Amino acid sequence: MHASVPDALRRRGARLATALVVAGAAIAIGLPGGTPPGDAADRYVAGGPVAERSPVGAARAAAVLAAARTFRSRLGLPEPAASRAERVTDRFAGTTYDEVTGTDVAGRALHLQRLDDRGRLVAAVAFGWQATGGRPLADARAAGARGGRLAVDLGFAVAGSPDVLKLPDDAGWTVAWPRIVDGIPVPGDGIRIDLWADGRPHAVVRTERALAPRPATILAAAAARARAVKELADLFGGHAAEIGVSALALGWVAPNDAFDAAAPDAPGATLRLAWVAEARTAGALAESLRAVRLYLDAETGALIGGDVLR
Amino acid sequence: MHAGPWTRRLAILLLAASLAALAAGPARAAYQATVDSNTTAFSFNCISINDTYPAKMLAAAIAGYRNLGYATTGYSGAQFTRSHVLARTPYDWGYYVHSHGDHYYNPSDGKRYAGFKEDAGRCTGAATVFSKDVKSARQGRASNLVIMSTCHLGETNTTMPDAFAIPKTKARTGAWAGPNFYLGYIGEAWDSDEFTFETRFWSALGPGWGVGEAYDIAKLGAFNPGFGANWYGSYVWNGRAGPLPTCPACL
Repeated sequence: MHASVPDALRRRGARLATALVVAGAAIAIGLPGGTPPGDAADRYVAGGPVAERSPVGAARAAAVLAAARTFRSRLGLPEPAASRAERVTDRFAGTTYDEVTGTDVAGRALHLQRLDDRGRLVAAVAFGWQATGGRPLADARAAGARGGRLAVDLGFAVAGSPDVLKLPDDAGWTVAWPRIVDGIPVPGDGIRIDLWADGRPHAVVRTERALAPRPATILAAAAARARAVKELADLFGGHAAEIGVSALALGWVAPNDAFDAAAPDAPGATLRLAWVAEARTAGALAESLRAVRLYLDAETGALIGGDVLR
Repeated sequence: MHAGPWTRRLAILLLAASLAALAAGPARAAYQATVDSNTTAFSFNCISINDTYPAKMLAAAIAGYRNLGYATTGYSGAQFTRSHVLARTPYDWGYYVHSHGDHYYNPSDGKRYAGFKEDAGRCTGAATVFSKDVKSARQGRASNLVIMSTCHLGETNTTMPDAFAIPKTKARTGAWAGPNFYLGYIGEAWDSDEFTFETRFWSALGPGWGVGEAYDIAKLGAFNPGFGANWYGSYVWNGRAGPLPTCPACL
């Protein structure tokens, strides 16, 4: 029997009412919104989830946990009561890794380690901010030496003197070896080791993002500067006199949506060679903006992203 | 066949559940959070481009606070004014701002205070919200999660934590400074670094890490050389709104 029009309307009304109640309940209960986890290929959307997690298969888990145990020993991290291995897809960075979390008998997280597909350590952190320990490292030189020994123990290929920075509130030191490829810096990439004041490791990060092929030809610096000046004039219009190029250098950068709202929210996973033009502000413009960086494609000079310093 | 008793019963059950959740909600919903982001000074209104970072960081912060149970409202443009900040701050348990920040000179008493610029829809001449203004408005009222997404306000001489009654101490594992956490940046912090850090911070907080652990996890991102963040408060706190000590496995 065919449903009558009033019946159909009633059904539709009931479905709508049910949907509204479900949505209302979800909002009232506070279910999180944003992009649902699911498709690993989904791009990150600001405000949505960054990581998708899944259990590591039993066969792989054994190898992952063994590698984590080795690095944990080299870092001097405490033996956990239990370890959990998860496969993580990082939508923001466009990477995947295995993450091992060590917990104590009460279930509190002691430390975390991340390993890439080749079983190499890409990150580790000891939780808790237990900053008090042994005798503090004497100075930046001692911190650099300590970081260097740790880097070698972990199998990192580091060369030259690291950048050493003392952290505020006696929280320790940061020892870093920025990545440089054929003499060109890769900002954000490299090895970084955070040490507590007494030299124990707090965190380790090894970042080595993929690089696009180097362009066959590269704009001359003068041409790149002229392009940057023109871009600034276009971007800042009547305020162009209050901003000027203060530095210009080649760098491997992640294309981003800084000046293009149609581009993806997360920076590109593959870095491109670009002229990075930094421009500082003056006058009234400096009240709200300190500087901008323009990423100009090294070959074409096209604007592929940038950065803002408020 | 028409909408029968089952459908009506389901609707009634869901409505009852919804009402029950709403009835239980006010205790959590009472904990207000304000999220401010300065969008105007770097938009088509003032120059020839729209900087995309402020809107993205606003969206991320609103989602982050809401996930922690705060009754969160975001403001930007002409709505984000000094007077609006000071009118809301006595009732804020959470506060986030992304703007121009510094240790500004205050002409009224000749001293420097941590502060940030309002938006107010102004291209130039935006007023400064000084920490002393916030402190005066709040009169010592406790706060939960405060994030200064600006330059300089995470430095050790910042006066902003005190304005929100957050002591400038780091209560590490085994210690407790109350259900509060202050996050700020050191020196000049580029938007891309703040966006990366905050994205990872909010992401880590959601699945159940404490604020200190989320801070540590956020630092594992890729940042420009020299980027630095800092925190004060309770490492083990879970970030959820309210005056009670809420941490699943602290101390």
